[in-house]
Amino acid sequence: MNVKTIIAALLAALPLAVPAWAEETQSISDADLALYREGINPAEVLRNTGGELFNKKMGPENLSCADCHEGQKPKAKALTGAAAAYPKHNKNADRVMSLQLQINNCVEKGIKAEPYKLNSAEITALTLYVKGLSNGMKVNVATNGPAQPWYEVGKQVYEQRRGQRNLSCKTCHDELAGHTLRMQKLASIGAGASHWPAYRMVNGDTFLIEQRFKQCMSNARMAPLKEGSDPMVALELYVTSLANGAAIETPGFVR
Amino acid sequence: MAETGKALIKLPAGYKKGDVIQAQTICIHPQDTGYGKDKEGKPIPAFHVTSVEVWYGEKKISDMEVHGAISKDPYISFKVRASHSAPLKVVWKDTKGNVFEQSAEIKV
Repeated sequence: MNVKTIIAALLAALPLAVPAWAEETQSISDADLALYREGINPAEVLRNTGGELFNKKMGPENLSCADCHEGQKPKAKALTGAAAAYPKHNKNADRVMSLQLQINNCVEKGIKAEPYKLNSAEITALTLYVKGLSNGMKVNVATNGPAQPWYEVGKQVYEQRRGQRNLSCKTCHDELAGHTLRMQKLASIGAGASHWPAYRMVNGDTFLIEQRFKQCMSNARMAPLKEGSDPMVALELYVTSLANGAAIETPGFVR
Repeated sequence: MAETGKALIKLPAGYKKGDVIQAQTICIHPQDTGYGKDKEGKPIPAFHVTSVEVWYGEKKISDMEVHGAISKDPYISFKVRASHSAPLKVVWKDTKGNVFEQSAEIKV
């Protein structure tokens, strides 16, 4: 048997030799992943910090988020299930707001305190806490009415090829979904937005979905969009709307 | 992103007196080994957990020696027999002399 025959035989045997886990989008085995899921998600610690921030008194009137949202004030509105509808159009601001923008809006207008930086640990913690109050509920993002132009823009951002490698989100996560890139399967976006904010094992840290978009964009050699900017919020609206109907499960735990 | 030293203990639900339960603990910690370098090429000094103690009520039930090889945000899980109602306290000590504590109540 010469070398060529051996290689041909090996190539022919290759599809059979692919282990079962390679079919999954995770690059670790199901058994390993189950072990990780069994343990504590480190993002839960951050969510507890978010709970503390939710009860922290701030601003000139010494108010906390909990003061208004847990029933003591007249304008009170319970937040259970509220996060499922975000990103959502805000009438007063006349724009679509992601959950973190809405929290900052509340901090600025309601509590009259300094809003958090959009890439700070505090806003991640608070978003994680507020989104956690809607755990188990279904994502229900409106894409019609005043949010429709934003949805269209988001779809365009998703499909627009740009950057040094001339890639769009769609290229990898739609057209090439299921193919292998750097030892792992490309995932179709699907209902992925329902488990963000999530803890990423590669970074050992918790991220908002917009921060994840930024990481993805710099890997694809695009100029990353700014957190909270109009196209970024539109993209978040579009991607979250793809998860409509899926149960919210935060904090997520991803590779 | 979370602050160093924030910790969490998780106990299972629905155990009875005398049951062996699985306790899970995590402590947010960077676990720098001392061998890494930052973006400017300067070495990052060692900063990791050195010992983990477990107290069940007044009694120390476990003493673990931990080194820099343990990954970031050390997660430790162990079994304990729920023999009486008492707080389960876990104490982390690190190379900078910090002491972090977290406790959870075992109720039987």
